[in-house]
Amino acid sequence: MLTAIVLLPLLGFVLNGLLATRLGGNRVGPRFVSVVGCGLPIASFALVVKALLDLRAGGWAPLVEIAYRWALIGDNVFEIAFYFDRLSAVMALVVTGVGSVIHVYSIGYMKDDEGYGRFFAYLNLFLFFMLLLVLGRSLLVLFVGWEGVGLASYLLIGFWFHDLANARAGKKAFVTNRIGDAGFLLGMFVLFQAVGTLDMDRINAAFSGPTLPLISASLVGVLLFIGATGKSAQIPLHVWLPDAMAGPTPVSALIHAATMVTAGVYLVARMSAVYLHAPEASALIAVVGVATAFFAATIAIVQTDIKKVLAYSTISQLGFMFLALGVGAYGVAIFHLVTHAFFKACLFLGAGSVIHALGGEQDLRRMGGLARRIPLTFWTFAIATAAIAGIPPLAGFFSKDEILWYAFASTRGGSPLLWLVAAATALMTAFYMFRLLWLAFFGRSRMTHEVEHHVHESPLSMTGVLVLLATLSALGGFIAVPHFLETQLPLPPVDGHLHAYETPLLVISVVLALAGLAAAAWLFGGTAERAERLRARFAGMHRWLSGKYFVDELYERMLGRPLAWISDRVFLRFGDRALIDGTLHGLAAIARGSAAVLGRLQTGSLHLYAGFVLVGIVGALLWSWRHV
Amino acid sequence: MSDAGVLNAVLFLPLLGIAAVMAVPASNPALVRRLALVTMIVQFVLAAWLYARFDSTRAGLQFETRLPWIAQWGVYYQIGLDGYNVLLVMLTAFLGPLVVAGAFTAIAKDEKLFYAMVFGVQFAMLGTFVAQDLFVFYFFWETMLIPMFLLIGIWGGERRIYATLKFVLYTAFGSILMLAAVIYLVWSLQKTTGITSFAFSDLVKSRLPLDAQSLLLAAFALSFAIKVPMVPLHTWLPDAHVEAPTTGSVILAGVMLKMGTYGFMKLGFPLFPDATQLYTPVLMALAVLSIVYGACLALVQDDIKKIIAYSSISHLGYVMLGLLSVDLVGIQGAIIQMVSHGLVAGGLFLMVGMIYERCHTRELRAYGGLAKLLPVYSVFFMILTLASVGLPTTSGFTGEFLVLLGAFRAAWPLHTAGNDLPLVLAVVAVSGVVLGALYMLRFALGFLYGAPRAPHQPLVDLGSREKAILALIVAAVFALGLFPDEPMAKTELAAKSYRQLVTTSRLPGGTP
Amino acid sequence: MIGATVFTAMLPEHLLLLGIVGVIALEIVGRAERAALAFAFACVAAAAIAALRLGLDGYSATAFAGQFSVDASSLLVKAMVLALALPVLMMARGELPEGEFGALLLSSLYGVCLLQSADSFPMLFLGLELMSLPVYVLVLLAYRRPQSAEAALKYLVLGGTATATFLMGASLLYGSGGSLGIDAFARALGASDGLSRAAVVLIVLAFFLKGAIVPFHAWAPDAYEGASVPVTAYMATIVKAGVLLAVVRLFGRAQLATPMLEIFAALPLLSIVWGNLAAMRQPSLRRMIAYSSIAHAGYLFYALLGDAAGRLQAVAFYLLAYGLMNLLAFAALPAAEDDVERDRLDNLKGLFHRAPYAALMLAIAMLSLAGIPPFPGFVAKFLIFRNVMAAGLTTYAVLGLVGSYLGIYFYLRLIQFMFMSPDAQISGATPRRGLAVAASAACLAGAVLIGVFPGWVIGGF
Repeated sequence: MLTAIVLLPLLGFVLNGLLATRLGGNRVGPRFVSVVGCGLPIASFALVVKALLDLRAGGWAPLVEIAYRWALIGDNVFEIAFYFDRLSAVMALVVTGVGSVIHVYSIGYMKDDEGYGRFFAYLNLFLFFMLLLVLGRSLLVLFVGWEGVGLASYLLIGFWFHDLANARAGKKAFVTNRIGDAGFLLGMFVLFQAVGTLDMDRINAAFSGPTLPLISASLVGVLLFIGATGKSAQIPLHVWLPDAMAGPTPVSALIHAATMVTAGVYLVARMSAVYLHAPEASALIAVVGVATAFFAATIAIVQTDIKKVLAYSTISQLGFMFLALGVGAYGVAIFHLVTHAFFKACLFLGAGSVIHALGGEQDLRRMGGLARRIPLTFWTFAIATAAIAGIPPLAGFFSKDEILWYAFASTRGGSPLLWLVAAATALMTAFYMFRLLWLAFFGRSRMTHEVEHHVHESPLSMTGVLVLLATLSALGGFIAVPHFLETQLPLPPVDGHLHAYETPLLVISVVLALAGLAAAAWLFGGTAERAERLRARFAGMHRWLSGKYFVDELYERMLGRPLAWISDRVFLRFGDRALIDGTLHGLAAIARGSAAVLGRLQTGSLHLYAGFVLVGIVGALLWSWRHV
Repeated sequence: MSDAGVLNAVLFLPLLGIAAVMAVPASNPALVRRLALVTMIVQFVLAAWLYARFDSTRAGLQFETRLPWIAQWGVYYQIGLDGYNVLLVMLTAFLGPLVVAGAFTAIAKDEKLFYAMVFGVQFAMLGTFVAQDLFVFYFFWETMLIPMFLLIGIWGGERRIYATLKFVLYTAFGSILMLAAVIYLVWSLQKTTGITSFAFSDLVKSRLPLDAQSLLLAAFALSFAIKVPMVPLHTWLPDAHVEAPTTGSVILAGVMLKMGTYGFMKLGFPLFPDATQLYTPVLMALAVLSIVYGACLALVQDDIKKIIAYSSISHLGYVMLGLLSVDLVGIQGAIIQMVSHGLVAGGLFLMVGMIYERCHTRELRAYGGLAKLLPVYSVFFMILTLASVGLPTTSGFTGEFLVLLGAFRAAWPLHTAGNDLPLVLAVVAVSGVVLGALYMLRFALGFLYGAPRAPHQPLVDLGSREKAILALIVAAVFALGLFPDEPMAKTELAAKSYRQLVTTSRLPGGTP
Repeated sequence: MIGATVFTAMLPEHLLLLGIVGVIALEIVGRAERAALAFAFACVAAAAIAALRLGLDGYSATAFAGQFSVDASSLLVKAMVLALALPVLMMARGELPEGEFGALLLSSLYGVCLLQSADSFPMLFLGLELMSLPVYVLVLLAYRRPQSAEAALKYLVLGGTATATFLMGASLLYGSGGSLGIDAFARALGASDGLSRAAVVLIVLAFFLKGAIVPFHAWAPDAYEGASVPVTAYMATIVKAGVLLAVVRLFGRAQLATPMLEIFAALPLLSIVWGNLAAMRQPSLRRMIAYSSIAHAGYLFYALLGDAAGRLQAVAFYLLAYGLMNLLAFAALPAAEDDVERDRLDNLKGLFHRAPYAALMLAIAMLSLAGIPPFPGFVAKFLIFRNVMAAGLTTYAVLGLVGSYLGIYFYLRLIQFMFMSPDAQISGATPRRGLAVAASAACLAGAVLIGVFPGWVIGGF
């Protein structure tokens, strides 16, 4: 059954890919594409639910399903096997559930695109690899999915391939991920070296057992985390995600918000047994996480592209999740992953609806006053915004609050400092999200005239999805994910005397959320000259933020150019041409030269020849008499 | 016909093919093509039959033939299949028909001689792989030069003369020293054990002092490393590839380069284990250097053939790394990587040929947006590109993953023992996966994406013949990526024997 | 019964003699054209068959004690040399005044045969001279060209030097050892007194001269170029064969030791390198072959470094492969009105498109001479260097092989001209020459035979 869950989307990819693209000569119409493209994901969602029921029926004993043996080398077995426990259940539900609704949304969003069939084929392909990732039993299968989703993301970012910029963004995403993957590979190797298997349940067992493997858990942890930073866009490998917004909006929602980018979080949670023995690695994760959250949030404040704001907010939220992982609150991280999937998907799709309504416009400076024009989109968007900002009792409030609490109180590396930075980030989150809301939906319209009169609410297939996701964003907080996972991912102990702080901190976080709301309302409500003045005041800082701290430029200087220079100047021009070929041509020239000399000796003069003979005879005689 | 007979048939069918195409009047090229294709297909069918009958549980030779040739110095015509060569023979036979079919429209002049030469290469390469007698091996190894010399020299591009002479003189230099080594090796075997024999099975019994081993290894390694090619002996490859006709490039990348790695695996390292162990650090460093160096150079090429040529250098670096790791996983990975590279690079060169037939330029800059102009072509191209990048589910991943894992497994104990070099090298090699993505995606970016741009428009997309060729290659690529178990089972015993041979010292006076 | 022995033992020589007489007779009656060559051919063929037959029967006898004796191997060697002469006769058709050519060639062959049976220095001398003198004239036969006379003169003068050196050496040997039997040479080779050293050196140098070893090679390029194609072919193959086989016979079972060893290694090595290098830039095929033959003489003399046991085998097989390939090349060389134009390499450009068969034959010949498998030249080279290596002279073997590497280029260069270069502008169609083609076919057949069954052929000697 697990195999079926994974294979159904692949079937969709094959069908649509062969029949509904120019490869197969577009044999089938959009109806077929929609039915196959959405039907199969929904089917596999149903199967996941079924599997969950079986899991419960089986007393939550993990289901293992071995598909086939990939390789047997000596006594090393590499199996393609699937593994289904509470954690993968949660992940699979999110992936197939949110995935399915986004597929449905795409029917409307991509309606008039010439690559309609290709789009659904790619989406299905992504789902296939994502399910491999979350259901795979061994790190190998996980890695297959891991790279596969990278491929799907690459293809979908560059979906509109006539624009080179999109393709560049896709390439950047793929290569940046590859850097992470290199670390991931090494992590796998170390584990295989130490434990002798790549099956994650076995590895976790080995690390939970009485005798630990003879390997530094922190080394493994760090290496795997490098992979996670790539996939989940954490510092220093976060640079690809904003560019990835070049893809169609549903892609941003599905891949670059709800599912793929959370793969890193899943990986760490899945390997929690290793990280429990890796305090250094965990500390690193917490720090990187909170730093990423903070800096991404600062950048989000000044972005003017609606999708870019959401992109940085995604990076920031992922930072929160890693913070939770870093302090050992794995279940909480997954909790936030789930709620984030809901509201961030809702936000992206809402943004998509806005862009759809405005005929492709993405710049917040040319929006405004949309609330009345597209009310449904507005209300859903507003709810999701409130959710991410942490306004109780919406989903984001619960998950984020728990993260803040454990960042403060966990005995596994929690500290007031972490809490402080995280809290500040929460404040900024609320601020930039409500800024976005105000700029887009309130105030007077800043749209050009033709855009203005062509604004329209999106079709039901889109708005329906928005309503569904908004509902989930509102109520998702009441799904007690951490509790559900606790047997598998126990929450970190909290030292008793800190319990006194729990309520005050909770109040503070609510206050912060409201403060962000208020600040945004004050700055951007009505005319925006307050914001203008503020920007004028902090012009330098604003340049830094809107320049994203110029990290891309830095990488280009530090890595890109040197690599090109070495390849071209040192290796190609000097190494290949000058040194190696130069030497060879030199030798050839010597041969030719000597050939010429010898040829010239053949003058035809008999005297010369006789001279040769004489020299030869005398020389030989003398030589033979050497030691007589 | 006995199985051994079938193997001989597979080997000598190309000669029949030469006779056939030569018999046809030059006025009828269509018939020449058809004959060539049919012969190749028959050869593949026979090879496949042997592959199916190959018993993976049996060590040593299968389908063996052994006849006295120059009996007075123990030269025997001895051929057979074993785990070392079975996949490579399969690869050669598989690419044969595709190469011929790929040349149908590309080659317009002297077609008879052309297909005769293709058969010549096929004959020589197969002979090199199935030979079990050093003399026979060298015989075929050298023979291969002649048809290749003509293939590049007659049907190549502008600088074909330079390229082909460079290729032959490079290779021949290695071969000459190898010949000296061969003679010395056999003679010393005769001196020490009294056996006069060129049979591999006897030669691996030879016992030589370390200095002799080192010199002989150097001679063999030079010859093999040139063929692989390993940096810094690689500069013939880009020229040869660029100037060669598509067919030449495909043969070169598809099979011939593997003759080098195969030589290392079958002869170079097993014959001189002590020297090999002594020089493993150096060789490994060179292998990793090749990985990085080739990748970096591929990054800055504007000629699409050169990109693939340099990528070959990089990919074969992985093979060498796997062989040198002397770890079962690494060795198996190396073998798979050989086959995988043959399929992927071969396929890519075929695709370059197809676009070249349409547009007559290999300048990357001249192209763009082919995804729009040639959708079908682009799909195949993307698949092969990703296979070259080593994306999971493709053969490229199987090879690279196992090689790197093996290299790491071999390096870790040394690291704990205080020798960090192998580990460092392994880590650097892992970074090759990033570079690989960089240069191949740069290629795809400029090639498939962006505004549609091509010298000769409108372009016609792939025809059914071209589709069939590529479909077969892609199928093989996925088969090897998804189900490598069965082929690796066939090579497992060979991998073990290789490990055993390379790790047991054969200095004089040791216990046999 | 002496008479019978003399008859049987010298049967090949007798048949050659018959041929000479017959051809001259035909000349006198003036019906030389056509008939003469055919008759000569018949006699040589008969002689070859006779030698082969006797050799395979393992016949051995002493016709004149201490002077002339035959055994199986020497007979087989004769058979080989005579067989190699047949294509030469075939390609002579229409090239030369056939009467003279036939007579001279046969008498030269007579000398070659004598060399293979000579037991004493006078006999050896007789053979050498009988072999060489007609060749001077043969070179002259291409009198249409001015160079030929000059070439013949140079050849004569330097050949004379060789004769002188040889006689000098022989007399010194007699002085030191008191014997004129060729086994005296082997003894002297072992001796370490100045006199016998000098004798040995002089005798060997005489052979170096005849075999065109650097620095005694200078005559070869001019002579080869001066002569007409069949004569060049004859000089390149059979004369060389005669000389080398004679040396092998002279050395007998003797083993080389320093300081002789160095001389015997250094000069051939030098001529390998020199010949291969100088051949790179030659404008005409005959000149190129001349230098290549200098290099090949180097390989051949290298064989003497090896163990006595394998020597004859190595040299004979090498000569067979080398001879067949040279003959193949010359036979396939398309004719032209002007003998000079004929083998200008530039005129061979694009030959494959004008005369594919000829081009392929030439290509095979070149590749075999370069020692690249699958052609017999490779096995021959392998055999020689194997022997050198087996004698423990690893360094020399490696040096020789590296030297042979230098040779690859110029052979490939010719192939490049024929197959890869734009066609040369040749005026007028080249006349087809049936016999020459037949000759080339025969050579090819022989090459294939020794290529596929080298073991069997080597086993013969």
